[in-house]
Amino acid sequence: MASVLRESWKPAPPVFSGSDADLEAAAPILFATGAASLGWWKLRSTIDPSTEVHAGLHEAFRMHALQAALQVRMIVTLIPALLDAGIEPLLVKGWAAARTYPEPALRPYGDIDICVSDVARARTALDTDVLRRFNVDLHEGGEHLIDVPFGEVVANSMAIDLDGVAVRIPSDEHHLRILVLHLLHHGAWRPLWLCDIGAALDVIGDSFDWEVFLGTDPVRRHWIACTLRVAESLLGADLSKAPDHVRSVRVPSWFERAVLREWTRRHRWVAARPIGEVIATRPWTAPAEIVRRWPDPIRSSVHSGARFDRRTRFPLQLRYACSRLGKVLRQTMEAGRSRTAPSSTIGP
Amino acid sequence: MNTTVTMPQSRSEQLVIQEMADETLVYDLDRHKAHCLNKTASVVWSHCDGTTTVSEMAEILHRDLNLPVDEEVVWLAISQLGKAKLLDGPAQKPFTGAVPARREVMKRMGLIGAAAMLLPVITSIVAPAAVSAASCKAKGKGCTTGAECCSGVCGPGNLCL
Repeated sequence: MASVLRESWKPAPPVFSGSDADLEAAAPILFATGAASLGWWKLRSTIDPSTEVHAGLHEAFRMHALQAALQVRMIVTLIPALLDAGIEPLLVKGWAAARTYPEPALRPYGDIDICVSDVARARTALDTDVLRRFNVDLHEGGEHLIDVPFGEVVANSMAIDLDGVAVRIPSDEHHLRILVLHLLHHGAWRPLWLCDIGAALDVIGDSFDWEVFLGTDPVRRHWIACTLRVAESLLGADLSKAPDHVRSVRVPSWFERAVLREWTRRHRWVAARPIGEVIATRPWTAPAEIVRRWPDPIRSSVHSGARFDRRTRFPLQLRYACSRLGKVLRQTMEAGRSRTAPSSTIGP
Repeated sequence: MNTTVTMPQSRSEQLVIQEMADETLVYDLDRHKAHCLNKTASVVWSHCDGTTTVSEMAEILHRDLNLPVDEEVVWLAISQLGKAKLLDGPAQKPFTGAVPARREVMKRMGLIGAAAMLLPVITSIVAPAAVSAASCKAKGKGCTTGAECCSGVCGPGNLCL
């Protein structure tokens, strides 16, 4: 998988040096994780055009090209509607990440992530027949996305012209931080996210402020530096502009292994049943399901705020698994109680 | 045959068009269908302006794509554009009857192998099974697994917690 996607975001990616077996193993993951366009971009000149893989990857590229055009139409409709309502929207991930790729089709995105200061007002502004159909993910003050005060992110944001509409996105420093932290919070399971980092690193200018990007928290600085180093070792991301302390950071061996494992693991989860449902309906299968969904070391470390060091991740994984299971059980019991409680709106 | 019949008008409403290096991708917002026009079909479609004549179009194809000057190629493209609902007006061939089949045109023009690829082709795009690239679903959104949810937990009622 890594050999297929290595430097795949470049305008002219290097020739694929892997074997047919590598390609066969990677193809289903490319399709399942939204990286098929990147696969086609990288492999288009090396694989036999008459093969099913070539045809499938090319078709995905075409579809993603149209999807990208559709998303742009939506964005240029959405942004003015929010501005008219007095809301300053800040576009993150999705289009903001795709703009760093040589072709918009290379970076598909399913929803439009927008940070606003007041989600309730934004929801009201978007509650029209046309806008309601758009898949918008609103984040109040950038919650769950960035650990920098929202006012600071907005103050440093930049306006980019998109089909005549000025679209605001975070500064390169803040946006790359968002991309890295988002990847870590989700256990790096989508290979596209690591490619995002490679593509973003390629377009940063000389004025890029590494201190702003890395932040002041020593644990997070280390997480971020480790992620950049893994992007470099797995996918050939260019760290030549990075400061020495980032380029020489010691990455624990479990981190890279975990990224590779997640790439091949999570896509299988899509068809799995919710664990709450499993516990409620087939409790005897719960242990096997819990093992199957055992949390990855990356998310477990990040959710515990633990440093990426050489120590075993097992206690962190155990703690994270227990907290998730506890949450599901609590919610299942609450849902059960609310189903059995008499309704206050029916009856005399 | 040298007709002075003008090309029909191409449809422009409710279409999303993406020009690629050697093909044009079109998404029909009314019918929710995606089409891929090869170079020849793209060139013909771009000249569907209600003023260019079919014979002029054949000359354009000869000049731009090195195709033999033959109006049947243009009619073949128009017929396919019509079937894909990418034209505004009717696409009727006058006088001489039906539009020949692609195979017939290939045979008549002696196009074999790669040269046959120059004939107009419009295909439907069918995306391979791929999950959406959305990273995670917010609280209250439908889910089947915790992996889909921002919280990491797909709760009761298949809703993200």
